[in-house]
Parts: sequence; structure tokens; C-alpha cells
Amino acid sequence: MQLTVSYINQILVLLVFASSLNLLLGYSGVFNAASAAFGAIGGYSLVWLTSQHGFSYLPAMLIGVALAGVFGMLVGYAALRLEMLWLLLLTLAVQLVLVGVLTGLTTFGGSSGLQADGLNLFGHEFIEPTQVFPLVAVAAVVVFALCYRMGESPYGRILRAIRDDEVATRSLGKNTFFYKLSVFAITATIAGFGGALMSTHTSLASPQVFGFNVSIQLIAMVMIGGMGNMLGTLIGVALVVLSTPFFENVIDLSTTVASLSQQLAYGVALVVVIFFRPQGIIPEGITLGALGRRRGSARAALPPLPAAQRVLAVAHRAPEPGRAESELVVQVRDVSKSFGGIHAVNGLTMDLRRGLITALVGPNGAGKTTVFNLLTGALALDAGRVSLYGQDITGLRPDVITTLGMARSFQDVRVFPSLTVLENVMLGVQDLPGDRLGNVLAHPRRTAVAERAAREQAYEWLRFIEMEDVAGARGRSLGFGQQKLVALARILATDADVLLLDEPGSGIDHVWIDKMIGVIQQLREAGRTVCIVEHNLEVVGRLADHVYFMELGRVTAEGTFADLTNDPRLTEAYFGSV
Amino acid sequence: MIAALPFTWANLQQVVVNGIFIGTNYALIAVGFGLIITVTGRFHIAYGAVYALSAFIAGQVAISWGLPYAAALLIGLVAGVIVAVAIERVLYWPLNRRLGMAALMTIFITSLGVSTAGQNAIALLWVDAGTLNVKGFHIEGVNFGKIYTTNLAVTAFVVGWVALLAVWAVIRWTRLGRMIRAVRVNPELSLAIGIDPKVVYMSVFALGTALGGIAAVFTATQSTATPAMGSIPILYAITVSFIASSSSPMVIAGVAVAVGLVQSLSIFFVQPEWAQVVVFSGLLVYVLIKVAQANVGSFRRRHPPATSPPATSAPGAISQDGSLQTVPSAQ
Repeated sequence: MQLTVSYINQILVLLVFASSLNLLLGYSGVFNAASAAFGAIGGYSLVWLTSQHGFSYLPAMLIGVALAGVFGMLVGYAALRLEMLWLLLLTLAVQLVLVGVLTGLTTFGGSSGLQADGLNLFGHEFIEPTQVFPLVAVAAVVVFALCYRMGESPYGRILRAIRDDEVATRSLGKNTFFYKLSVFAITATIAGFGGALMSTHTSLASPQVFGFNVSIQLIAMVMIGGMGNMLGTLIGVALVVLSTPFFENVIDLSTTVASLSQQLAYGVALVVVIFFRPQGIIPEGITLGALGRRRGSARAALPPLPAAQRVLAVAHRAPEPGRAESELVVQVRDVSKSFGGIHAVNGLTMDLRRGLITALVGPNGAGKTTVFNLLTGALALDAGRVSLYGQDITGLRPDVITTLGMARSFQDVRVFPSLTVLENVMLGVQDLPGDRLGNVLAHPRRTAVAERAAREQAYEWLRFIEMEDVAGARGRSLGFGQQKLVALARILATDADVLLLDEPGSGIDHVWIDKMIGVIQQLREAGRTVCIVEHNLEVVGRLADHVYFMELGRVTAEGTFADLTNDPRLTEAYFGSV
Repeated sequence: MIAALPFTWANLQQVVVNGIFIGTNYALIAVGFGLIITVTGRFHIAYGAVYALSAFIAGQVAISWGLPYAAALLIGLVAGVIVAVAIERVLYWPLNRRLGMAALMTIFITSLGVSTAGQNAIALLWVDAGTLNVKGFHIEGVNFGKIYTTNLAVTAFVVGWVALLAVWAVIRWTRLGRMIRAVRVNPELSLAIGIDPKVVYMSVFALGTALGGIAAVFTATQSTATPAMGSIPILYAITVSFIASSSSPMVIAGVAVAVGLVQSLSIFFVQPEWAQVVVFSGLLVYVLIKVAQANVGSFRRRHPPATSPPATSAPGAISQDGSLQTVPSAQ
């Protein structure tokens, strides 16, 4: 009986760890090799403070959990701006150094660790597994529900978008660093809590309990169960833990051989899953409320649509009486950018005006996309100034610039592949209450109401581009032309006044080009400020009111499309001499 | 904290020689691992399990077949090389093709799986023995003045440096070396000029694993082979190869010797159990320096001095969002 309960307790404690790791690794795509080390902070704090400093259980646990959270925030702050390799290295180093230090300090029991004696919560002792069970059961249920709620909320949708494409997420007005930092700190805090529970369960805080092997085991549980799915985590944890008694009792192996076989089995399972079922046993999208049904795949799950298309009626942004249609919206002055010795953009000056479509054309390598990167803050300027409605936006982050009203699309589209079309567009909707974790947890009703409204709004944009029929399809399943339109709907959902469209007509056939041109013309009629970078001169000719011609990072000519195409020098510069 | 060893001239000489020998061992595994990660980009943490396998195979054939030590060493190396090349060919290569730029983390996790499975498979195969000693080398004490060592340590030092120099020479002066350097710089372009990256990657796994195998067999001769014997060396290899920040075998080897010396000299200042912490702290400090550079770089790019000339980006510079990137191409 006690042994069985002990296995259940182990599953529950590891579920706490693994749920938080899945939120980080599965939902956010952020790697952490130091889950066990964060657990060590919670576990060692609990045992050390209670056994050697006379603390009660609860304050000792809270101190450990808080320390883990603060430490997690520091580690996250240090590494989350860097590439994955550095995060991997830093968390690996943290795991090794932290556990090494705990092993080296005699006050923490050296390599034997600290024995937890007489742990009790309000007089309830934690000696037998049956005594530990109520605590870990409640804790596991709460943490699981918390992680589930976070992962399946609008906040979780942003995490999944970051995992799919951080640059695209930032371009939709989301401060991706903040989201990654918050989830890293939260999961480190939860890991600290898991560590305290682990020490309660084992009555021990030792280097073995919180070693690197434990971090690997947690990764295996998450990967095997299913990345980005909390139900999968539960199954992954149960499978890995229960394989030991399976080998011991069903296959009838000795304790040592059963333990080795268990580790061999999950190592092999990890590789097999990565190769043959990378989504894990339960793929992302299978939710508690809809077992067997993929997230957003059923049209019937969507709320009824409003009768009228609101679409382009952006009343608060419509031109004010007395303001000219061609009001100057974006001013670019003497902007330069070099890469090494290459002047990608050199003293560029241009204007974007309301209700006009401005085109940037020029031969390959002229610096057109770099201009978009500079305008939206994706690249820092070397010199010059960019202003939006007279406000200097030079040096601002891409997400801030989007929230101020200038959004962009990408030449390579960057639709979020694992999110549905509807979710892709919903990510464009700005300032949802559910984007903030506090609202997700403290104001679920408000979050749900706003979520329904955002869903309706996203659906309207999909109807505008005539793609509501594929709202539930994953981004990865769309054709290139469809992806281009979804990317357009996504930035339309930001309600940005200024839209920078990178190659909207490239790589798609005439049917999609006509559709795209129709949509962009409607944007102009609605008073949006549009700038396109486009190689397809037919598209430029049909859309552009004003054209800038770029060569080697400079604007060398401007005017109407007809002006430019009638200039033999420009024609030769663009097409080359015949 | 109480120092474990009094600081005397005699002790210093002994500790320095020990450090050089330890550093040579680190050099073999770090150059091996470093060669693999710098050329292929694979974070091959299963290197540690293959390291242990080489030692076990060498130990087993020495016992079972009664082979001479050198033959056992060679067979151990060949076994490790075959397994490592198979891991690259069967696991990493297809994953990389499937995932492209996103393969780093997946290959790392796959490698963790292989490492866990491999280490426990070795433990199960040798479950009755538990540990294994590579026999066939008659170990004797050797004195150089007041410095004491063994003929095994000297042999390991000589063989280790011969192997390191050989790998360096191969990379520097042979056709294979030119192919390795070409693929390291640009695999796609290499393919365009007739160099098959697949072959080069397998060659690099073979060379890198052989170097680690030498260290493993000598370690298992000095003490014993255990299934987990590669766990710490692979972490040392990661530490050294990243601190070295170079693809040059000789630079990595030099850093490895320095790390060995630091670890050995730390015995004057801290208890021996802190030696590993000292080494891993080096990795932590190195990464933190990189982080600081990235953050400072990001700040400077956002807030250039008003009077300064326009900043320029260089290869490997920190991008506007703080991430370490190569030069973005102008459109």
C-alpha cells in the first residue's frame, strides 16, 4: 500500500515539475536544462530552514519557492535575448554549478545531502507516503490546472506564437522578451515548489535528487507525452515513473536491473518519439474540454458571426474633417544602415501619405526590405530619423512601433505554422485582457468576454479576405497564396494605420494576385497608409500612387509609375541592358 | 575554507605536472567534441556515452581475447567510432534535413536520449561486472626529481599529444582537412563544388570520437571504466570547447591544458570536491560575459553617441534584438 502510494506521490511531484517545463519548452519553445536545479533551490531551502534553523514548513517552503523564482528571473533576464545555444549553455552551467556548490558546502550535507526530519504542516507529519499524498495531490492538481489555464489562454497563444516565430510575434505588437521572461520566471518558481514537494516526498535534499539526470528525465517526460499539451505531460510522467514497477513486478527483474531498464527505455522512447511522433503521444491541440477534437478545427465551436461586416470601418482612425487625404503620416529622413562595408541604405528620405499606396521598387540588393526593417525597428538605424504622425519612433522596439500604428508583413510570409488560421489573425488583435497573465488568472470572465470579441473580430478579417472557411486549418497546411492573405489579415487585425507589405504579389498565381490587389485597393479606399515593396511591376502599376526607385541603398528617382517606366535609364537599371 | 594542500615548491611542481596530464585528457575530449560541434553544429552530448563504450569494449576484448594493450585500445576506438558515425548517419543527419535551422534543440534532446539509453545499455550489458579495468598495461611509478608520476600517465600524455597533433595536421594539410574547413564555413557551397557534407560530417564524428576514445581507454586503465564515466568529461569538453571559442584544435587543446592546470592548482585553495565547480564556473562566467556583451551591444546600438560615426555590424555581431547573429543580408 505504502509503495503504491509512494509511486503515486512520485508521479504527482514530477507532474508539478513537468507541467511547468512543458509550459516553457512545449508552449514557448524555450529550453531549460536546469529544471532540477531550480527544484534544488526549493528543496534545499525547505529542508535546511526547517531542520537547521527551526522554520515552520510553510514559511520555509515559501522562501525556497520565492528564491527559485527570483533566480529564474535573473537567469532568464541574462539569457533570453540570446540564441537558443546560449540559453542551453547557461542553463546547463547553472545546473552544474548550483548542484556542485550545494554538494561542496558541508552545511548542505555534501554529497549525501540533507535529511529532512520531522517535516510537518500545521501538525500534519510527512513521514509515510500516505501522509504526504494529500499535500502533493492538492499541489499537483493546482499546478496542473494553473499551467493548463496559462497554456490554453490568450497568454498561451502568444507563447505558442513565439515558439513558432518570434520575429513575426514581435511584429504583431507583442513584447516577446517580456513574455519569455515571465514564463521562465513562473516555471522556475513552480520548479522550486516542485523541489520542496520532492524533498517532502523523499525526506531528502541531495545532489542525486536534483541532479542533471532528473532534468533529462523531465525533458523526456514532456517530449514523450506531447509538447504543448498538458494532458500529454500527465501521461508522459506516468509512463516514465510506472515503467520501473512494470520492469520489477511484471517482467520480474531485480531492482537494479529494473531501474537501469527504465532509464534505457525512456532514453530509447525519447529518440523514437522525436523520429516517429514528434508531437508526442497526445499532440498539441487536444484539450481537456474537447478530447478527440483538435483546437479550433470545428467551425461549429465558433460564436455566431455579426450580421454586418465591420471590416474596414476603423472609425477612430478615419481622417478628421479638414485633414487632407494625403496627410503626411510617416516621414523618413536621411536614414542609413551599413553592414560591414556595405551601405544597404544610404541617406534615404521618403514620405508615406494617408490614403495612398506608395511603392518601393528597384533591383535586387537595392535595400528595399532593409528599409522596412529600419522603419519597424527590426534593425537599428546607423543614422537618420523616422517619425510616425510627427512622433519620433527612431530606435523603438518593433512591438512598440506596431502598437503605435505601423505594422508590416514579411516577404517569407511567416504565418505561425502550428496555430490555426483564426489564431494567427487573433494574435493581431491588440491589447486583449487575456494577453496579460494577471487577467488570465484573476479575471477569467473578463478575459473570456474579450476573447469572444477578438474571435469575432478575427473572423471578420477572415471574411474580408474570403478565407473564413479555413479558419480552423493550421498555418502549415495552407498554400503560399493563402498564407499571404492570412498574413495580411493578421496585420489588418492590429488596426495599424500604416501597413508595410513586403512582396505581397510575389510567388503567387494570377488568381491570388487579383485577390490581393483587390484587398489592398480596399485598404486605400478606407484611408489606410500603405507602402509596398514589390518586384512584380504589374502589381506596382495597378496599385501604386507614388513610386520610389531605389539603387544601392539610395532613392534615385520618384514619381508616378508611368514617370518611372518611361525613363530609359531606370528601365535599364531595373532590367539590365539588353 | 581549508586548503587541501600546503603551498610549497615541491607541491607546486607536482600539481603543475598533474594539471598538464589532466589537461591533456581534457584536450583530447574537448578537441573531439569541439571538432564535432564547430563543423557539424551538433550538440552531441551522447559523446560521453560513446566515450564510456570505447573504454568498456577495450577492457572487454583485453580480458576475453587476451589481446595486447595496443590492440585492445585500437578495437575500443574503432567500436566507438562505428557507433558515433552511426548516430550521425541514422539520427542526426535525417533530423537536420527535416528541421533545418531549428534542429539544434531537437538534436540536443535526441542526443540526451541516446546518452541516457547508451549509458544504461552499457550498465545492463556489464551489469554483473559493474565496472571494468582495461588490463594489459603494467603500471610503474616514475620519478622526475621530486615529481612522481606513472609510466601510464606519461604514455597517455605522449599518445594524447601525438593524436592531437595528427588531427591538427590532418585538418591543416590534407584534402580531408580542406574539405572539413570548407564544410565548416559553408556546407551548401561545399556541396556545389563537389564536397559531400554527409561524408565530411561522418569523418568528423570519426576523428572526434577517436580522440575521446583514447582518453577513455587510458582513464579506464588508470582507474576503472564505469557506465557513467563519460558524464563529467562531456561537460568538461563542452566547457573547454566553448571557452576556447575557436575551431582550431591547438587553441582548444591549449585552453584544455589551462583548465586542467586551474583545476589542479585549485587544490591549494579549495577542497578537491570543489575542483569541478571551479571548472563549471568557468563555463558560467564565459556565458555571462557573452550575455553582458550582447546586452551592452544592444544598448549601444539603440543609443549611439551623438557624435560618433555611423556604427557598423560585423559577422557574429549582436543584432538589434540582442541575439547573436551573422550579418543580415541587404535586400
